[in-house]
Order: sequence, then structure tokens, then C-alpha cells
Amino acid sequence: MRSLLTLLVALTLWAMPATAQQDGGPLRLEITEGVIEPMPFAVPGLVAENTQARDFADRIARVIAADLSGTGLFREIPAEAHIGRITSFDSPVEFADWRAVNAQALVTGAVSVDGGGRLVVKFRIHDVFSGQELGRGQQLVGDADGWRRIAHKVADQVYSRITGEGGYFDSRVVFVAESGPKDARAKRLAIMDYDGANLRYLTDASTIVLAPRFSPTGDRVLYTSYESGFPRIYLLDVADVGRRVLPTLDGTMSFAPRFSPNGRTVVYSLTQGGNTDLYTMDIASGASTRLTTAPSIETAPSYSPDGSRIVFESDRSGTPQLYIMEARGGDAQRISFGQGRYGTPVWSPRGDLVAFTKQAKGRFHIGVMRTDGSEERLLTASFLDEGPTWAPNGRVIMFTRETRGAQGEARLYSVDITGRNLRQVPTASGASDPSWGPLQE
Amino acid sequence: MQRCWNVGSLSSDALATTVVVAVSMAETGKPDIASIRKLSHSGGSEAAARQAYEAARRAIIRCGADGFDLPQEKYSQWRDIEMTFNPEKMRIK
Amino acid sequence: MTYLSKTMILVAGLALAACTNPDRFANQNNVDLNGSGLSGAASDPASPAYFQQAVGDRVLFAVDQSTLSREAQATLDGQAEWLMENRDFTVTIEGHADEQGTREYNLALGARRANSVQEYLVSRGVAANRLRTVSYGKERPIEICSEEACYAKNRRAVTVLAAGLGS
Repeated sequence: MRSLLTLLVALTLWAMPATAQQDGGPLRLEITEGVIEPMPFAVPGLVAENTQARDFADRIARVIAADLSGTGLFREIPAEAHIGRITSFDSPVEFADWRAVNAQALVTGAVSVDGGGRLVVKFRIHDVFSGQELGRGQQLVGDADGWRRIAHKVADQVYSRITGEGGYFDSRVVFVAESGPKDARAKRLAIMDYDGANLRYLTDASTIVLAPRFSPTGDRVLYTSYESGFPRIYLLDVADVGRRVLPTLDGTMSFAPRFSPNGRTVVYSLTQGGNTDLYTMDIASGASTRLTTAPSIETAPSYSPDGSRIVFESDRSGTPQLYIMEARGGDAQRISFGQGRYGTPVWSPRGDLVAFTKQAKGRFHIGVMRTDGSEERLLTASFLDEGPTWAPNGRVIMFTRETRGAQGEARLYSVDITGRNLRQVPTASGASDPSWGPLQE
Repeated sequence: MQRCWNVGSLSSDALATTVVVAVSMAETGKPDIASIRKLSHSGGSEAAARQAYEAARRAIIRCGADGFDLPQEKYSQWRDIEMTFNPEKMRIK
Repeated sequence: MTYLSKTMILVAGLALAACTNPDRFANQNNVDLNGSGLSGAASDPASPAYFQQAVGDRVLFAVDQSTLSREAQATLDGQAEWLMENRDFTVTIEGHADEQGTREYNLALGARRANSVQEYLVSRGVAANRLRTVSYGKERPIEICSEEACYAKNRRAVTVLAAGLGS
């Protein structure tokens, strides 16, 4: 490409009239085409500043590197290729060594264990080619048990500083862990770090549980359980795993709950006499308000981030489509108009997009559209993809992918909203219905 | 320059930001790294402009590392270059 | 320099890196009899086994539909007749869907199917207070292949008997 710039500059110079030459103004060029490639980066092992910290030095670097590579926006230059060595956190970096292996970003760090047994991690982000530090060096302190979280926090800072997106690595996912054959599948609620680490089960497998949804602060989970014999909505405290059923009328089914952005209200589906409509419930008082009164199915509601509107799925037109209405109910505007059936809309944390499940021509897709229904883009395609959930930064979507046939199994996948970087999220067993929690404090 | 201008690790906000970057060139055809600076930006926030500028700066440094093959006799005309990095076409469609 | 200053647009190729074992409820005084060993001999016309096998405990639905076919109505006529004869039983009608469709929509669709059956049985004289409905959506298929042959059997409403009222 060097030749292209050269050619262009040459052409410009050639075309320039002789009279213009005395002027000393700058040459102006416009670049409108580039490449879309992962940025090469290096994270050498952290410098262990005392003996107790030695165990953590490499492990933390590995988690940082895995987080960054996992976004698909970065590509790690592996340690074997490194020429440079970082032996002291404060010595100047020999950038030539890192330029030589084409690392464009370099993360250096040091770790020590303080007198109280806590990890102290310092790090710096360097722009290798300009030889400059990006932002200032930072320090994080935390329990040694939480070393992965500290690593995620460092990676969040690096990701955020280079890309301009908010981070999402220090977050958790609540989901349904599945086992057993398709016709007798055991399901239990589980929670894990976004990358599959630190798995913990929140319920046993004695009854069907469905579609857990994190509260905005990540401390509580709403989910649907058949514990009573009928689908009802439960509220679970993540820390102590205590749960209670939300009060609903006998002889009804309630499901598809989601929190309002302030965490005080639940919007959900209630089925009575075969008809499913949307309701809200004030969690503290248990008082419900009906939002829709149509003979059609209204389900899968999701609040806008400001809490003013609700996007939901309805088959009032004859097939399931997406609609938006005011949070207090009333008239709804249809926003999906493509070929096929649309379901499980989820408002993006930035407020500009709605992710959804689409079924068309015998395939399932995860897609996104603007909230007015324009610019629909399908990000995935498979036998069965469903139930999108947004990363806290609105850049990545996680969803359930189920394979076909008698041996079919559900697993979690994530995809960048550009449609690139589809990957399976590691889980020990089958997994479905992910709900991505907020960045942790 | 296109090959070196990598927008793959930019936020969607930064991908909506056009930056104008100035650079002074040495007679050898190499950019003077210390002279690279952002003149202006449009379309995105201040924060997005920072990432967009940094990507542009990397592009200039990387592609200019061996020097551009420019006509010596016209050095006065390419001594100062202003490059507008407009990612409109690179944005997610 | 004015000419030189004119903006140049660089254009180049874009290098894009390119058996059914549903969770049945055994709550309170109701005991599920259909799938258990308590169902009695199918030869006994008052037995749940007879209801299951001779009368037929399930009806099937077309894709996305909850309307009852003529065949389904005939089955339900038999169910209603049997339930009128055997008044000790209460009934839970389970609605199910095939795996094509989202979890939430299928739950609502299964509820519609169960409700269609309930309304039909009531219209045929079965007391409404003996009937209740539940939907399992796509959670409990009886056939596990991903072909229409299996889907057709999974789009069902099953009338499950329990020892109820005053028994």
C-alpha cells in the first residue's frame, strides 16, 4: 500500500500546475479504505514483585490475553515469538523489540502480594509503533481468590482504551445447564463468569426451569419454574440462593419475566384461559398491572434502557412479529416486516438496537435491527438459534444454539454485532437461555 | 496507507468518526512521528475521536516505517501532509 | 498550491480479513395415574389405562394451530363421555409444541392448545372445575427426531387423569 500512497502523491504532484508550487500549504489526502483485521498485541507474563506473586504472574497474563483474543478484535503474538523481555515494570520498554514481532499494542504489568494477602496488580498499555503509553498506568487490588476478576478488569481497561467500547470481561452469565436425553432433559439454573469459569449451580434438577434473567445490578435473577406443577415466576437472590415465587392468580401460568431498568418492576407474560398477555408487577408489593388485552399471544417483553418503552413479540398479525409500546401499555407499533417469524426481542443496552430470534425458511437466526425496524441484519444461521442476550457494552450477543435430531444438544454461543467472531462459550454440559449480567463493581 | 489503516479494533462510535491528521515528512520520505497530530474530527465523540486518531497514527507510522518513495525534487510539496481518515465505507452496513 | 490541496480520494479494494416423562404434578391430594403402575387393566373400561389406550388421551395439532381437527373432536367426544361416566377423576390438560419456535412462544402456543381441549370438553358437559391446563411448550417432546414425523406427534394436548374430587 506504500506504493499506492506513493503513486497517489506522485500523480498529485504531476498534475499540479507549475504556478502552485511556490505555495507552502500541505498536501491533502483522503483515506476512505482500510482493512478490518484483529490488532496484534502482546501480553508478556507479569513481573512478579515478590515470591508469593509468582504463581499469578503468568496466569493473569493468560486471562488478559484470552479476553482480548476472544473478542475477535485482537490477535495475540504468542510468547514464543517475543524478542523483548519485561523484567521491571518501570524500566523503559524497548519498543523496537515489539515492533519487530509486529505487536501493535503491548500490555505490561507487575503483580505482588501485600501483607494482607491481597493481590496488587499494576499495568500499562503501550502503543508500540508510536512508542507511547496509552493512558496512565493503573493499579488494581483484590483478593487472591479473585485473581481472574482482576485479570478481567485489566483486560476491560485495555479493550476499552484501544477500541473505545465499554468493557465486558468482568461480568457473569446466568443460564440453564442441561443434561439428559431430549425427551427427559434435566435443567438447572447455573451462573458462571462470562468466559465459563467459576461455574456454580443455583437450583437442583428436580423440576424444569427456564429463561433466567439477571437484575440490572446482577444481584437477583428472575426465572420460570415448574416447581408448583405450573410455570410460575421466581425471584432468586444470587448470593444466598434464597428464592420466592411471585404472586400470581391460581389457574394461570406466568413466564418470560424481565426486570425494568430500575430493578423494581417485572414485565412478564400471564396466560389465562389460553390467552397470553403482558403484565407488569411491582416486586415489593406484588401488585400487577395488565398492559395488553388482545386475543393473540403477547410474550417475550423487554424494556428499553430508559424504561420508557417495551419491545415484545405478538402474533396479532397472524404470525409472531415484534412490536414496541409505551411501558404503561397502550397502542403498539409493529417494527418487524421481513419475511419470517420474529421472537424474543431484547433491547440493547445502548438503546439503539433490538436483538431478536428469526425463523425463516426452516432456519433460525439471531439478528439485530434498529428500534424503528430499519437496518435488519442477521448475524447467525443454524438449525435452531434463539434467545439473544447483550453483553453489558452492547457489542456482543450471546444466545442458545441447539443441534438437530435425536442427539440434539443446546450450547451457548457468542457473536460480535458485526456478525463476525462466532464462538462457542465453554460450558461443562449442555446449556441454554443465557442472560448476560452487568459489569461487576 | 489502506493496508496499514486497520479499523478492525475500533468501536462503532469510532468507526463513525472522521479524523484529519497532520504529519511532517523528512526528506527521506519517512514521517516524523513526533509531528503527527490530530487537526480535527467530525461525526463522533471526543473519546471516539481519540481511538480513531490512534488508528490513523498507527497507519502512518507503520506504512511510513521504511519511507515513502516520493520525488525528492518536489519535497516542498509533500513536506507537510494532511490526511483525512474517513471510515464511512468501513462502517458496519 | 490550490490545485494540489484538492482532496484526493484513495480507492482500493477493501481487504476484508476477512418417552415422554413430563413433570407431572403430584401436588396435594391429586395423584397422577396415567403413567404409573396404578392405572389398572386396560380391559376395565373404568380404568385410566382404558382411557389412555381405548379412548385416546391425546389429540394432535397442525403447525402453529390450536384448532381441533374433526379427528381430534372425535377423540375428545370419547374423552368427555368417559369423564362423565367416571366422575372421580380430575384432569390436567397438558399442551405441547414442537421444537420449531422460540421457548416463550411455544409455551403460549401449548397453553392455547390445552385451552382448546378444555373448552371442548366443557362444551360436551364435563364440569369446568374438574379441568385445569398447563403448557410445557417445547420442553417435553415425546418424539425426539427433528423431522415432521416427530414434530406432528409433539404438537399435542394430553388429557392426564388424576384421582380427584372426593376420592
